[in-house]
Amino acid sequence: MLPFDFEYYKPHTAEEAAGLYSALVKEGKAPVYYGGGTELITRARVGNITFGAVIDLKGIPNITKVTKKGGDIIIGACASLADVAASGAFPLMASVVKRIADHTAQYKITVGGNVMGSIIYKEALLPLLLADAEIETFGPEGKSKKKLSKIYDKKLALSEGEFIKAFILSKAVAALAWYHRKEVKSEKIDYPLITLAAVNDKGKLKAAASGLYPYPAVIEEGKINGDILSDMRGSAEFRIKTLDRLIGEAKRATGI
Amino acid sequence: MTEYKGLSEIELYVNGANVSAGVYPSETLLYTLRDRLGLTGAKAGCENGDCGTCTVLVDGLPMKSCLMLAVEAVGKSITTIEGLKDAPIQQAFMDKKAFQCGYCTSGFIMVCHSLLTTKPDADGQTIAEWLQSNICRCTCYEEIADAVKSVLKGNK
Repeated sequence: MLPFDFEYYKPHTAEEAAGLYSALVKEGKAPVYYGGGTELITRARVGNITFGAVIDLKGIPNITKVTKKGGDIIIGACASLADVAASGAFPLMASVVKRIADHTAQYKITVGGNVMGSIIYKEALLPLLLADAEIETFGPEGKSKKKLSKIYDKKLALSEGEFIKAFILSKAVAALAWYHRKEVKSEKIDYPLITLAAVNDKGKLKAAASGLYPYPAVIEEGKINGDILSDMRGSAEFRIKTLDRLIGEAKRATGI
Repeated sequence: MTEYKGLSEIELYVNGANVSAGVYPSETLLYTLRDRLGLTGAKAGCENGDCGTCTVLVDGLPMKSCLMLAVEAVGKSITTIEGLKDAPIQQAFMDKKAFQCGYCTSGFIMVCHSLLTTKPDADGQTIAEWLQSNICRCTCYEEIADAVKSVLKGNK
């Protein structure tokens, strides 16, 4: 039982969800969009967050599915990590999401929830950054499609009431030679010291990491900014050395 | 659009039967199973999605019931340990002495049962991946893995 009451809504269309959000804001209900809900439930339980209404997005058609259309792979924002892994559509992403949380939790955590959550690592974002995926959103202004690179700078810039409906990427990107490694301090199920995802993009390594900065980022070799994490999981120096080692491994693994 | 406000009557499909319960939207499935329906096999542990002792099956797959709202479970098939009724993995846990204090056991058994029914040819790596979702503070991990292997197709 969570420590406060709220209203629960499960709309059947994206338009209905966006309209409901605006209406609930006007009523002072402090609504939140709800995908897997794992973070909202755990934060609410300890009094870290409150809300007056949840809008469960899983009733929107196709939002829980991974599909292929023409040359694209479309990952619904409420597809569970387990479904993304099982789809086989994007092997790099499958490898990454299979190391987020644990196997059972992967049936509940959604891609959109991982990407939009408050936990800094957001590892599901790494393959999407490398693919420069398009993000289909829906909000009070209606439907929109934006390249991830245009709206991501340390965090996703979505407007009030806007939610992610799907991530769209090219099948060609999903077919590139890839590398993924998650280094943790001790336990296998843990937040990353460094998680590196990389692809061989026309002979050059394109890489993205979680655990280096307090946000996922595309890594340009030799260019490290001053935001490096330094905490009980690992000092800044150790993280940089780990990153360098993994980049070396990534090059070898992807034939560079 | 489906909506629930305040105490609402919902129908859940639990252990092969439809049951009605009055629930608040803020109730986790774990709370509803234990406190509304009297199914206390799923245990409250960390209530943070870490320990797995509250694991039940939702549509045949493992789910930490502390991480699911009861209202989310409407229309889904829920199985708790009370619904297994002498499944082979339950006997295997006894045969392999795969528990000590027993608090984590129902959660582990639900994960193992789902693994055995969805992946009867699971290899060692798959077994390890699935079992990492649960914690046993008495550290019966080897015995639990042995119990799973003893029931697997071909007793690998």
